[in-house]
Amino acid sequence: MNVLEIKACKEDTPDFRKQVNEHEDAVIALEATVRSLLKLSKTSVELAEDYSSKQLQMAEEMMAVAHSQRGHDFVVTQAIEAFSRAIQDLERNRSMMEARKSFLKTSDDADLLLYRYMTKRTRDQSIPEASKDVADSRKKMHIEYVDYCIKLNELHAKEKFEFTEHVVTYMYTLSSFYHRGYDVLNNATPSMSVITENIQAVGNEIYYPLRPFGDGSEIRTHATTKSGYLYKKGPQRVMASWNRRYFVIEGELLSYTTRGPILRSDSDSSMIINLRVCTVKTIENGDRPHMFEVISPMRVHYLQAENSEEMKEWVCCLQNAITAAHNSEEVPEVRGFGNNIEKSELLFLNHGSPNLNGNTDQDKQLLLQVRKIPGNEVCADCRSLSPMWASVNHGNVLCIECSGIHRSLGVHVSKVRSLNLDKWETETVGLMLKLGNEKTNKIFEAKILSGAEERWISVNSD
Amino acid sequence: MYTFLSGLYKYLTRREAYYIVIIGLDNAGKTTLLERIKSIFLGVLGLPPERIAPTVGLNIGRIDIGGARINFQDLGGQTDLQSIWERYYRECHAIVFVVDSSDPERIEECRDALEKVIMDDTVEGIPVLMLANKQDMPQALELEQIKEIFNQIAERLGARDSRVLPISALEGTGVKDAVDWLFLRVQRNKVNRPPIIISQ
Repeated sequence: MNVLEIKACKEDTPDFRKQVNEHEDAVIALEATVRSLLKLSKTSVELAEDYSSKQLQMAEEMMAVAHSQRGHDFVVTQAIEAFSRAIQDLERNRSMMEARKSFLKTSDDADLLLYRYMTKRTRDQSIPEASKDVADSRKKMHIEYVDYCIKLNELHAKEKFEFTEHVVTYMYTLSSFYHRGYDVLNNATPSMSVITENIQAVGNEIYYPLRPFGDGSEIRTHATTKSGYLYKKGPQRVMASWNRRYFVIEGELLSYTTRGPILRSDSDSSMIINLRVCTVKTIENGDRPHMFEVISPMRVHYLQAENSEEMKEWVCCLQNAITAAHNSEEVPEVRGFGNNIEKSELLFLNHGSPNLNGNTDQDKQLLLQVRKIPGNEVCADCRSLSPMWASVNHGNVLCIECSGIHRSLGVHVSKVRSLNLDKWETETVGLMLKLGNEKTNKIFEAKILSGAEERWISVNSD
Repeated sequence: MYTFLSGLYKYLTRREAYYIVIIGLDNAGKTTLLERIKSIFLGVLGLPPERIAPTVGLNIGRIDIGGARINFQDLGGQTDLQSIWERYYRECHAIVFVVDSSDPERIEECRDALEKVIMDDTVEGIPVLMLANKQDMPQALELEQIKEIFNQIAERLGARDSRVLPISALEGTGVKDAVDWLFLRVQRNKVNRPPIIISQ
């Protein structure tokens, strides 16, 4: 917006009037903005005061807690005290900032009110009515007009720098406040980290002994023994009842009993299931959550665990127990099922845990040994670590990339097998055990100039 | 109106997608075949054969042919990885079984593996293409010899579409014919296994 020409007052052209009007509009708009700003800042100051007092109260409360805890627990006291002190410092800082803020706002307001007061005096009243007062009034009007214009200009100029000045000061105050807050909290950081460590130490001390009861979060997947309460579906076909029973996996037997003294007939309250002839399955979309079933030749036992982790652990343990029972050399001793031996043998065949790649445990052990042969810890061709592939007819061990190169040569040159994904003949494993990278490389690379590092093929060389 | 237009747009731009799994013993040339298919139909240069390492998991190839899309899933062939093949049968429209013709020692193992595939209930009615790969090798078995071996299980194939084709994934001979055969059969088998409609 242009600055008003004071001289133009004398001429009082319509153009000039228009300019004056524009200035007036701008002032009104500015006033509205400042007013709303003031209102907002007032509310925010009130809120901040409220917040600050609440924070102080909290700090005090924490102090009180700290003092009441003194003598009981050094760590907690220290932590809370440090925390509350930090909060108190922070709040003291904040109140200073608030004083500053409100001062700024009031000064702003005062400035504005003053300007409004000045501008409200209008020259219109003094427009001449009677001809005899014309000269007098005109003079007066001119003076007022000039005055008004000067004020408008002044306001216009001030609006530029004074307002921004206030904003900048406000921002400075904010930045210094947060900076000091940061400093205070930063000072508290070392003690915070010390406290965290202490808390962890104390926490571990407290929780560790509880773990057997809480059962932790980890699932024991390799255990073969387990005991605990499960819900068991009654034998009734219709309207079956669910009872809580105590189940124990012991060797190849799963037995369950009621908690209290045995009240009913012996067969119902206590039962032993031979796991050798059983299979375990989880039930998806059963009528109850976390259900699994133990299928024995005689009947299907529907069981329910308290949560999915429990259920997984039970299923894992049962499956492990079943596998262990199958692998054990003992003659199956079927208890609790009468003479169902034929049936049980059938189930044994059907539900034996499948050995994924058909390698016997013995072969697996031998394959592990193949990897331990000197020279076999790295790939025979590129020396990269822990190779998992092997050339069966060369008797050496390779990484996956080099095995790809070997395969591209054709099976008449190199027969590649995986050490962990393929089925191995015992004889082949025997050959692998006799050879190994060190021996085979002495043969295949005998003619290569010794000592030359380049003889190692780099996989990434195209 | 929007629904109508977008529906029309979708109708006009929709395409049929077929899934084809490539299986076979390890080192039969499944990944090389997939790379060859990609280079023939997409015009991109495939991996050089010596850079193809054993597949652990699966490779995917996508080609567009005759307005339809064919997704190839190349699965690993190691004994342990064979157990995951069956998870792909349910959603596939055809099966490609790659045989290494240059390895007569493992032809029996091959037959057993294929037999297991055919016996799976979810494979019923799906076209099966046997590819006698590595025909470029001098010691490769003739197509007739391979056919003879697989005829032993041919009766189990029943009314199913099946064929033995000679190819060389390395040189690219016969690959296009094989894909054309597959495309024809999956379309013919639409009633049993409807394609997946994609709009793109």
